[in-house]
Amino acid sequence: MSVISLKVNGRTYPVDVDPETPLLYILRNDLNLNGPKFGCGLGQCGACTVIVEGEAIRSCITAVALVGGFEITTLEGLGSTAKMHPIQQAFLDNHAAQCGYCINGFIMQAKAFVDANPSPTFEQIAESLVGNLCRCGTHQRILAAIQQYTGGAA
Amino acid sequence: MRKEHYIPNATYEHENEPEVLYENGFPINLSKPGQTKAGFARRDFLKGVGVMVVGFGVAGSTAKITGGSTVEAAGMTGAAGTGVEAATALADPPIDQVDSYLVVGQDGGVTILTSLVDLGQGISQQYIQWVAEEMEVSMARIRVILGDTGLVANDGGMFGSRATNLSGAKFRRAAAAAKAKLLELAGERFGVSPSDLTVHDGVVSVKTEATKSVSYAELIAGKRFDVEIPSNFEGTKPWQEYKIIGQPISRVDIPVKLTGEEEYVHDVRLPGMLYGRAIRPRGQSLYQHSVLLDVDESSVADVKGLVKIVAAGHLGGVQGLGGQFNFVGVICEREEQAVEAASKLKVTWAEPPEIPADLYQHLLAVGRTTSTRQNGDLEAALAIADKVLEATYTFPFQAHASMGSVAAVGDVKLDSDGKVVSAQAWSSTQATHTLRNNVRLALGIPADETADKVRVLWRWGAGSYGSNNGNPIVGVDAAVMSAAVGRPVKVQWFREDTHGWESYGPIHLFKIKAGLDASGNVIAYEFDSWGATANNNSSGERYKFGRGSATFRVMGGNPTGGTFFLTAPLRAPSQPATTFASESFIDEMAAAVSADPVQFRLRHLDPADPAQARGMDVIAAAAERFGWDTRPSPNPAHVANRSGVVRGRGIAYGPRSQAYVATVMEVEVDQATGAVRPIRAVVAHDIGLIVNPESLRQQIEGQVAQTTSRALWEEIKHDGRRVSTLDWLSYPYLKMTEFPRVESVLINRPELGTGSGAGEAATVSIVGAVANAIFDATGARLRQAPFTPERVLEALNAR
Repeated sequence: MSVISLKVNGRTYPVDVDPETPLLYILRNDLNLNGPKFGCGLGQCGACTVIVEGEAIRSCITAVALVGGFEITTLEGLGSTAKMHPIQQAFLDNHAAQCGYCINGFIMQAKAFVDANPSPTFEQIAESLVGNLCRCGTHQRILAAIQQYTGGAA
Repeated sequence: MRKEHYIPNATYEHENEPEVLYENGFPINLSKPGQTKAGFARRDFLKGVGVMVVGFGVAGSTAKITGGSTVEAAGMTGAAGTGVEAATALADPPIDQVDSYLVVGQDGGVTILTSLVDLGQGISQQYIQWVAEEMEVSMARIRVILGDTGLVANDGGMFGSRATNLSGAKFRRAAAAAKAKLLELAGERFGVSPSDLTVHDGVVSVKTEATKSVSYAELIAGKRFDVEIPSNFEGTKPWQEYKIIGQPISRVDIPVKLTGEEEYVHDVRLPGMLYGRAIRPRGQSLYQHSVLLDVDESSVADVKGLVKIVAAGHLGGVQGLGGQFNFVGVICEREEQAVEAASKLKVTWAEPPEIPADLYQHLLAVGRTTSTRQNGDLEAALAIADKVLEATYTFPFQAHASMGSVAAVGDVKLDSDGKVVSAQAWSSTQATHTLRNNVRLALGIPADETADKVRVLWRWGAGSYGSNNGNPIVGVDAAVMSAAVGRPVKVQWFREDTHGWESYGPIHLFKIKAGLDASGNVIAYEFDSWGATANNNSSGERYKFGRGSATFRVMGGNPTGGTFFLTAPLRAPSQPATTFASESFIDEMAAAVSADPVQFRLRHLDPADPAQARGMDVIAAAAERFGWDTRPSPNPAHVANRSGVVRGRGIAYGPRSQAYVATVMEVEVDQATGAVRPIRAVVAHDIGLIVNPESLRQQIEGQVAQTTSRALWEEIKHDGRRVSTLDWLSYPYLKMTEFPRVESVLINRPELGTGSGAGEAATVSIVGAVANAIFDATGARLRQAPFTPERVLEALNAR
């Protein structure tokens, strides 16, 4: 066990755990965050995605010790139903969720991608999301939502 | 080894689709299932005890859908203004009473209660729209409680698109009857006839004297309606007056899913909760053979936080059905510790029997006939036919493959002797009452104490698309592990178990034979079906094919009556398979007589038959929107061009129950690699009355995406002993760049007064449409799903 200083959504949390522990378990079980989800634990589906220093990562296969001291943002850090982030609002406007289990991953992946590439083409948006799976088949609406968010045609 | 929690030979209840309700479609049979027990002790308003809080804002705020939030904190007691009260006694609410489904609270809110849970498709939105429409209450005042067995009546599980049928039939009649009763009460109060009254957002006023008004809450809160749900639609609103039904209203459940505020079953956290992991053989085997030989506890001696190791299920060595309930559980203080313990614990299982190398040959060998249908003398018609065609098609085992590894939370309270006092399980199962019974069986609770001691609380889960994606089993895992330690335990499966231990959609094999006369009309049609589970869909019977027969065979060959692998309904059970076969074959017939595939279908449908006429409408609508050019397939322009990338389009017609759907799919085929790229899908869709067109479009788009993936990639494979497709690499799903663009053409028939479910219908035609599009592009006929590049290359080489 060792104490790691985790900076999540603007707050700092000291956590005393095995440094190999996947970040996802700390976020969900110690910080009580529901946004990042356990989908596969293998980095294959993207449901656990969080943003670390501007980059979208898979928290299910990232050891907590690797991200100590870095700025970590989860879905909760973007906005709430009382005050949604524009990307969340764009997903809502396009009804871009069914069961919603994957949607954290899509929002976080797209947020990081658009931050780095503010005017992507439709093809670039789709390409940036090939590592995220949505079994309900909300793809068309997710792409429309991100186009709306980037100011492109919905 | 220790057997901490040994359950000898419990026979679990299986989550099966209720045939009667599913087959009969609409209207739903109100007397089935979950027959009523007497009385209202369960939600006894007069006793004034056992009140529970239902978590949602006051009237005027956004409606909230919940599985009974805050129950876990409040136990079975609490306080609220909703009027919904928790169990104080044994009986489930009767299924024929308005009070079982609708409760008006002191706050003026209306609560809908039902066992028909939401699989992530937003069906709750429909419940809200029906009740708002019929009761004249704004949607913001309506909340929904789903699948809390301590509160809701047992209308059975959520299968077979029943929710639209049931809500459109039952909740609608209940809401109309509730409004009638409220008008009667208001009439008595003001000394006028109900026809002299008007309602606006839950407030009843005398038409001629607006000052005389009273709210629903004042009239009924804290009291019962004591009204039976009418058996017909008398008193419901005529469709011409609908203000809310038919509107594209945003799903109320979506906002909280976009912010992390929703509580999925995976997010349930209880005080003192431990974390469990269940260990099963890596991938299910033939008949779920799971015989435990040894657990070496010394292998986890160094794991911190280990609380207990539990071995549960039929561990005496019983094979066959029920084997999925065998597991070894590790329970730890922290989740990562449970993961570590599960990966380190040395568990030895007996070698399972060998799986036949060719499952389809085995299916042919052991199939036994379950039903036959005959129409005229088939052999005589074949004898005079100008052309006779025959083809065999196969369809593999496929997985529900939920995005979330399935999870559940168990909270079993024990007395000082270790006997079960009460058991609660949080689950996103489709059938809460089935899980309740299985928890009872697992914990050895007598049947007559079920409702008293066991409570299942539904929570949102990842989409499950059928039934038994693992949820019903992990719910039992969690209860068993909790009972072993007398503390709450959250159990989440690994991905390999969610892929490897769910119940698959069954394999099928079809042999179809037809005879055509000299004018290219089908005069004889024989449809022979083999399946790992029963299936009575004969797609040929959708058309007027002259004389025909259909024979259905189901797999036997196993002493327990089981199938190779666990099977359960997977979205429009078996119909993507049957329709792939029959709609491919119709295309083959059209090609054999050089007919256009759309025209060939239309001339084999009878406009005088109401169902077939609706079929003609959707086929024509899909073709029109697509811009279909009338010509035979394959595209004559491509016949000489057997290299490079070519495009084609195919049509398939796939009705399901009272839903009529046709899809035109456009694909691109790379003839060098066999890779198929879906481009565009046009789906024409007629379910009768449309409740919410936006939700409907969402369902159609999702089904096209999911089923296109099933058509191209998805197949459960094994290594000779066990299932080996255990993750998203070995069981691939289409990537974001690979989905077709979907256009929906909605045909609304409000005059029918009823609508069929839409959660499955668009699934039916997709695989056939993809196969026909590949044929149109290349002239290669795919008769084995899925259409992987290898299979496409094989078919291309066979041209």
